[in-house]
Amino acid sequence: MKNWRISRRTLLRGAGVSLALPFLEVMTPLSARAASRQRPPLRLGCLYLPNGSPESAWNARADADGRILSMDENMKPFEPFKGDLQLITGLQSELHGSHPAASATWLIRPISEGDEPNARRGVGGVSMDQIAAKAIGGDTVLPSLEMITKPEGSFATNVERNNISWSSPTTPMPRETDPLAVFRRLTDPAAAAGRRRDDTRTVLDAVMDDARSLRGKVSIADRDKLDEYFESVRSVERRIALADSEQVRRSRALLSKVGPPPERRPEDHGEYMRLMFDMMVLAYWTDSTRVASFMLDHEQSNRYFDFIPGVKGMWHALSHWRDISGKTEDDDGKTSWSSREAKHKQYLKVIHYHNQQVAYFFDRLRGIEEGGGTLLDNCVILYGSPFEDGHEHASERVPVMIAGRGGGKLSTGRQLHYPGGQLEGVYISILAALGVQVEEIGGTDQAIPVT
Amino acid sequence: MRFLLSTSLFLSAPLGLPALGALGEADVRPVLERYCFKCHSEKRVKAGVSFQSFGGSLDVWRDRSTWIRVRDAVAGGHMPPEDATRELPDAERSALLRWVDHTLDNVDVSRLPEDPGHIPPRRLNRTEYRYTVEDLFGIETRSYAALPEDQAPEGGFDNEAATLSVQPLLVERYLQAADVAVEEVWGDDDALRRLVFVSPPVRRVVADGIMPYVSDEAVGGGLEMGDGSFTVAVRFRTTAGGALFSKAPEGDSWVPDAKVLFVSDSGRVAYDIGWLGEVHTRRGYDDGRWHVAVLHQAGGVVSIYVDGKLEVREEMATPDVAGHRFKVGAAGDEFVPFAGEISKVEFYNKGLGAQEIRAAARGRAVGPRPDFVWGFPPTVAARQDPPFDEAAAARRVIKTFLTNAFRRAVTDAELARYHALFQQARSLGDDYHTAMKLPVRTALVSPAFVFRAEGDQGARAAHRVTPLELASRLSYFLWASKPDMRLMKLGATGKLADREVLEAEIARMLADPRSRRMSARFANQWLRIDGLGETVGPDRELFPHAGPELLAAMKEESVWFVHSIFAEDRSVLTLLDADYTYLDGRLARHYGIRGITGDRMEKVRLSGNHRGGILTQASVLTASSSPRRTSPVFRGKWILDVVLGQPPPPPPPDVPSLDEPGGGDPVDLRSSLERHRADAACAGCHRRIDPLGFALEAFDATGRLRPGPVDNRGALPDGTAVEGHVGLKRVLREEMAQEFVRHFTSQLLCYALGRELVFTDEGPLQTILSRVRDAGYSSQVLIREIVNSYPFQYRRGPDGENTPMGGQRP
Repeated sequence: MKNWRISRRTLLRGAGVSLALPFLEVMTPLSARAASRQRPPLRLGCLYLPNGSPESAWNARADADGRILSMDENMKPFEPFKGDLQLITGLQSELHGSHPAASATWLIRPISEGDEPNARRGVGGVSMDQIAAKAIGGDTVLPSLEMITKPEGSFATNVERNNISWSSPTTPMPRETDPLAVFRRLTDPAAAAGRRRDDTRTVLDAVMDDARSLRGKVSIADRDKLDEYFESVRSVERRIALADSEQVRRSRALLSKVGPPPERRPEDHGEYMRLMFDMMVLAYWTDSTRVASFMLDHEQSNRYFDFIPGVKGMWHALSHWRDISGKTEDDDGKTSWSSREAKHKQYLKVIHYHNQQVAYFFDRLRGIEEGGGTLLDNCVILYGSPFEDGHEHASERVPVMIAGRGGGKLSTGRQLHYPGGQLEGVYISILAALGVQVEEIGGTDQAIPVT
Repeated sequence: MRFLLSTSLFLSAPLGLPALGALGEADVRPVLERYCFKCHSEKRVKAGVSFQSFGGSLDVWRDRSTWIRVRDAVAGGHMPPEDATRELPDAERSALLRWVDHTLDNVDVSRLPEDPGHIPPRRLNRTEYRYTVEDLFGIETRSYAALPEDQAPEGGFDNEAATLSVQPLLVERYLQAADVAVEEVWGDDDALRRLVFVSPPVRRVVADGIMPYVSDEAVGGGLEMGDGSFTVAVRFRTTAGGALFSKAPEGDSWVPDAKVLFVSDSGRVAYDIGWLGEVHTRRGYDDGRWHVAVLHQAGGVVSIYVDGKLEVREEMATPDVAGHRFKVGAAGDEFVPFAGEISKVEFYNKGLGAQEIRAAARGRAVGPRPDFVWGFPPTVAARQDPPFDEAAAARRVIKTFLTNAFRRAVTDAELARYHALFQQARSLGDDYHTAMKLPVRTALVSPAFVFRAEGDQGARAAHRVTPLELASRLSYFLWASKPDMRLMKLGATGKLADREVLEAEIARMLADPRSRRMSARFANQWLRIDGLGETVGPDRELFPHAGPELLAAMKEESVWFVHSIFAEDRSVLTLLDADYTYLDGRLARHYGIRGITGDRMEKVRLSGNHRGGILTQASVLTASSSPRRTSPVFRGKWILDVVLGQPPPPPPPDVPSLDEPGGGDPVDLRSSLERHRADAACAGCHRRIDPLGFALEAFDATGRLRPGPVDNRGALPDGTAVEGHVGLKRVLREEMAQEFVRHFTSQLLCYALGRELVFTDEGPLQTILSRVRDAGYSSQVLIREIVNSYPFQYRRGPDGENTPMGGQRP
C-alpha cells in the first residue's frame, strides 16, 4: 500500500517532466512536433457533495472586482488554489427540499412541485456530464467515468440518491466504488472485454444477430431496451478497436509503470477518497477519459464521522444542525454537541474535511505538467452541492465552485455573485467551454457566464 | 368496495362512515372550473396539475397522488391562493373536500378498466443472473460479481423492469461474467460432463476425467521435483504437440521455476524451466505414433530419454516450488495444451538406475513401483469406441444448452449460428470440449439469455402470456432463476395453462429448496434489512458484541422465519406473532435463550412473549435503530411503512425547530406564525409515528432486551394505547390485520410482477385478498392467487397508461 503510493508519487511528481503526458513532446517525432503543437484535450469533472453546504461556509474574501484575496475559514483547504478557481454564489435550482431530487437531478434540471423524481418514470433528462460525454467522449477508452464512495446506511441501494450521471432519464450510469476496478478499466480495455480479443469480436457479432432477431419480436415501443443493448455492444467494439491504437498502448505503458493500487480499499476514509481521486487523475493524465463524475458520498448519507477531530455524528443528522432535540429520526443520540452552534460547527467540519480531499485532487492535477501548463489548467472541475443549508434543505444560494481554466477559456481567481441566477445556466457555460453547444438545460436558456 | 386510505390517518378527515357531501359526481367539475381552472387547465398548468380533462371519480383513482396533494392544498387553505380572483367559500370548500375524501377512500373496482399493465423486456438483475447461471450449469458461481450491484427505486424492489436499465458498460460486464462462468464450468469435471453430455472418443478423456488433469494439493505437493532426483515417464501419441506434463501454478501465468515437458512446434521433446532455459531432443516425435519419453533428474543434471534412448543430458535444475501443481496435458499460458493422446504418466519420486530408465523408456515395467500413476485402465484404453459423428453430437449438445439458457425453444437460425461458433473454434485447433466454450460464452452474453422478453403474439391489446412465458414468470418469482426442465416441458407442451397442473407446480416449487431464494430476496427487501452488516450496523464501540457474524445470524433468522411461513403454508398473520423462530448459538445467546449452540440455525420453540414474529426480531430492531441508540421515530416509521403500508409523508422541508428564537417586529412575527403552522403539521405526523416506536423501547439498538423496567407505553396512530411490544403485537394482529395483509399482499404482488403497482391493479388485488381471507390467510393460497391473478397471467404492449397506484406519498 505505502509502496504503491510512493512509486506513483515518484512518477507523477519526480518523473513528471519526463513522463508528463501521452502527448509529451518526446513521443512525437520532431518534425511533427514542429508542424503542429497538439493542444491537450479539455476534461470535465463533476464532484458531488451531499447534504448541502451553508453559503456562509462557502465564501472567500474578494476585492471590489471579485478577485479572491483569501478563502474563508471553511474553504481554507482551497487557499493554495484561489488563483485556479471560481467561486460562484447566489445561484438557485428548485428542488422542493427533496433528497432524492437533490442527487438525481443535480446535473439535470429543477423539478416541478410534488414531482418526486423516480427512476421508474425517469428523472427528467440526461445529465450535463453525459451530454458532454456524448459530445467529447468518443475518442477515449472510456467515454466517461463515474465513481462514488462505497455507499453506507439505509439509502445505500436507493437509485435516486446514488446517481448523478444519467445517460437517459431512466438510465443511471453504473458507478465504480473500488480504485482497483477503475485502474483495471483504464489499463486493459481488451482484457476487460475478455482475454482473447478475436473471440470477443466473434461473440459480439453473434449476440448482435441474436439481438436483431429478438428485436423483431418485441413491440416497437419496447425496442428501446434492445437498442440500449446494441449501444452497449457498440461501446465494447469501440473499446476493442481503440485497444490497438497508439494512444491506448502509450497510456497502458504509462499505467503499467505506475502499477495498480492496492487490492483492498483503504480503511481510512480520507485515504480511500484520495485513492479514488488518484484514479481520476490517472484517467485524465493518460487521456483515458475526458469526462468523470465522483459522488463524494450518496445523498442523505448518514456516514458516521468520528475520525474527524472534533466531530462525532452522522452526516445527515449533523446537517440538521438546528435540531438539537436528539429526536431526529436519524440522529444517533450520542453525537456530542452542547449547543446548536456546536452542532453547526461539526457539520461544517465534515464539509471542511471533504474540501480537504478535493483540494488534494486539485493539487494532484496541478502537479502534472501538460502542454506548457498543468493538467488542472486543462480541466473544468465542478464542485458543489444541490442544497445550501442542509437543515433548511434550501436550494437557493447553492454552493458552486469551478476549478481549472478549461484550456484558458475560463478566467479564474474570482468570486462571481449571481443572485437568483439558475444553476443550470452554469452548465450551459461549462459545456460551451468544452466546445459543446446546448440551447437550454433544465428549462433555462440563460447562460451564467464563467468564461 | 372500500379500502383503507393510507394517508387518512394523518389528516383530520374522520374514518367513520363517509357521509357523502352535497356534491354529486357531476357537481365537481363546475367547482374546479370556477375556482381552479385559471391556473390548472389547458391554458396554464401550474405545479404540474391540470383539471382540463377531469371527468369524475375515475380520474381521482387514476391519479391518487395528485388528488391527495390537491386535497391537502385545499384543506390547508393554500389553494386557491390568497391572490386568487375568486375566494372559495367555506361551504363549497368543505363539500369539495368531502367528495375528494370519500372518493379516495371508496374505490369502485367495477368501474376501473381491466389492464394487466406493461412490463418492458427486462434484464436479469445481478441476483437472478447468479441463480440462473448456477441452475444452468449446476455449479456455484462468482461470475455475477462483475455485474453492477442491484439498486431499488424509491419504495420498490430490485427486480423492477423499469429500473433494470442497460448501460453502455453492461455488455462488457456480461463478457467478464461469462468468462468467469466458463472457467468455472470447465474447471469442474462434473459440470462439464453435464454440459457436454455427448463425449467424443478423443483419447483426452482419462480414467477420472478430462485433460488437463491437475493433481490435487496432496498429490501435487508430494511430487518432489526439486534438487533431489526424480523420474517421469510419459506415453504419448501426437501430430500437433503441446504440453505433456508440467509443475506450475494452477492459474495461467508462466512463472520462474515452473517446469514443463512438452512436444514443440517442430515435434521435439523439450523440457523447459521457467526463465531458466530449455533442453530438447534433436529429432521430432510428432509422427502420430506411440512414444515413451522419460525425464530424469539427478544431481542437478537433466536427461531426456525417448523410446529407450538417451537423447539429451544437461546441467539444468532448480528447486521445487511449493504450491505448484502437477498437471497432465497442460502448462501455463505460454504453452498450448496437448493435442493428441496421452495414455500413461508414471512418476518416480527418486532417481532410477540407468537400466530401469531404459526399461521405463521402452514402456516396460521397472522394478520400483511408481509413486504416482495417471492413465487409463487398460480395459478402457482397449475398448473399441463407436463411430462418432462430431457434428451431430455438437448440435445436440448446443441445442440442449441453448434451450435451457434461453428458456424457450431454439430457432434453426440460432442453432446454426451457435454451431458455427463451435466449428470456428474447432477449426482454430481447439479440441471438442474446448471448442464448446465459444458458443457457451456467447450465449451467456446474448440478449436471449440476459433479457426476459415476452412476445406480442401479434396482439396489441391485453393477452394471456404463453404457457412457456408463464413458466419463466413463475420460476423468476419463486426461484429467482430459470425454470427447470420439468417446468419448461410443461410450458412448451401447454400443460401449464391447466390450472391444476399449475397449482401442482407451485406446490412442487415451494417445496423445492430453491424457493428459499424468494423468501430471502423478498424478506430482505420488504423488511429493509438488506443492508444490515453490509451498509448499516450498530456502533462497534458501544455494542462490541454485534459483530458481523451476529448481524448475519439476525438476517438469517428473519429469512428462515419468513421462509417457514411460505414453505409450511402458515397464516400470513403468523408473521406478526409466532411461538417459534430460528436461532443459532450466537443469536440465542443474544436473546438470552439457553440450550442452543453451534453455527447452524435451528428451529426453536419460544416460551414467554418477548420474541416471535418480525417485530421483535433483532434484524428489524437493529436495522430500525441508529448506530448508537434506538430511534422510536425510525421504528415507528418502520411499522407504518413495512407492516401497515401507511408511510408518513416525508418531513416538510424548511421547517425550523420549535425553539427558534423569535423576533419582535411584525415581519418576524408573521414568519414565526407560519413556521408554527408548519410545525403543527410536523407534530401531527410525529404524534402518530413516535408512539408506535416507543412500544418497542424494551429492546436496545441491537435488539437485546434491556434489563430492568422500561417505559414502553406506546399508541396506535388513532390514539389507542398499547402496552409495549406484547400489546403492540396483539393489537396489530387483532385489530389491524386487514391493513397488514393488504400491504403484505401488495408488496408480494409488486415483487412477483417486477413492476410498480398501478391503479388498475386494485381490482385484482381485492380479488386476491378476498380469497386469501377466505382461506384463513394461507400463505400458499396467497402465492397461488398471485400467480392466478390477471396481471400475472396477462400482458400487454407498452401503449397505454401506467399510472402508479399512488396514495403512498401525499
